[in-house]
Amino acid sequence: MTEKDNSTYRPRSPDFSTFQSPISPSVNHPVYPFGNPLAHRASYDASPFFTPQYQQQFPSAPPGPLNRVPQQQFNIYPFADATHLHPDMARRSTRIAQAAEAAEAAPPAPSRYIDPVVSKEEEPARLPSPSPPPPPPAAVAAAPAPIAVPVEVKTKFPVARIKRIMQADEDVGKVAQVTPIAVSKALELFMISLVTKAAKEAKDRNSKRVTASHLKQAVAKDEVLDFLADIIAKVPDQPASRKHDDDGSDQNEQPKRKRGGRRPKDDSD
Amino acid sequence: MSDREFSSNDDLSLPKATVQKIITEILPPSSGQTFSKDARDLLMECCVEFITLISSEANDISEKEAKKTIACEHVERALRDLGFGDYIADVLAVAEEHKEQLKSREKKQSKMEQSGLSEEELLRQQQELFRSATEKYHAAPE
Repeated sequence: MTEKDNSTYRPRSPDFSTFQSPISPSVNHPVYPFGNPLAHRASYDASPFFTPQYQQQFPSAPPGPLNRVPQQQFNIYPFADATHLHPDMARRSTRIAQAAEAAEAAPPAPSRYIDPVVSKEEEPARLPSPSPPPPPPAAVAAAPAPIAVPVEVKTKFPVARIKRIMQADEDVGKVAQVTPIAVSKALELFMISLVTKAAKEAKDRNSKRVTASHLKQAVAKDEVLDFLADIIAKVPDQPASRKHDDDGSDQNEQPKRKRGGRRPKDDSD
Repeated sequence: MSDREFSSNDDLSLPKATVQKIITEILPPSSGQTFSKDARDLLMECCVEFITLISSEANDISEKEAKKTIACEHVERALRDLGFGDYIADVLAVAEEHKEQLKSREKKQSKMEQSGLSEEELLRQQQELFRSATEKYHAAPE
């Protein structure tokens, strides 16, 4: 069972497979009567047919306004590819609006065969000017998002490790294949929230360096994070918040911090 | 299970490099803030604790339902019970995505059905290929 789990994770790494999934849940990849389907499948990712197909498929994906946020979060690369088509890539809202329009315009799944025609006509129409060289994918993440998603994290946790950590608790028995994936997403959001809060604590104290005690303060403020109490109890209280600039005494008060260096904010205050 | 025996204690934390990378993505250099090492280590501990918390809560929930396997909905419920309801939408989206991915992978496996040809036809084509390969092999000079 576990072996099977691991083996099926492997193909996840190419990004193409990631985006492919939400698009055609029930429909076979339709449009290729030519060639040997076996051979064609084998080189799916690299196939020259790949890009056009994806372009047609994408608008016809059913992105309700509800699930658009997750979608764009996970489809970073496909979007980056789409840059060829959308010079105004950076403006997400525009792009989403266009996609939604296209989704309405293009009939949904059953009539897949006319999709190519539709979207090919649409593509140039949406493109008033020749596209500039596509910005790097990083631009996507860096673009200011008008929507509620504060941070997008592209780096993923190793799912196998998450599973192992979960099962380190001996009470925890079997775990469905998708569970560690769900947990690792939750962990990602958790981490974003912790880091953001700690950074805010640091900012409120005019510190450019986010320290463990900032993190501790952030955790202490939020009752949802009570379960971390034991962990943060090990961290010395933030001396800087009370008497940091009195004298050099804070060196004595942070035995845990072995860095020896003083934080920049000590000087700035 | 078997993989639990192999895991040694030092593996029971998150990989530092990955965590650091994610931190940098959250606090890019342009933000002007840096995350100290001790903060990162603390963060990692918190993260592990979070995983433990979620999984033990999900485990309880699944046990109450007399399920042997922790499924996604148990995690969902655990998140909600523990005050992380905000995460659920995104988590479910990821899970859904994963399921779709599995589906499409299964589809890839059943290429035979996808080819749109009958089994006899496929078999005939295969024999054809075998024959031509054999011919080629025999035709090739030593």
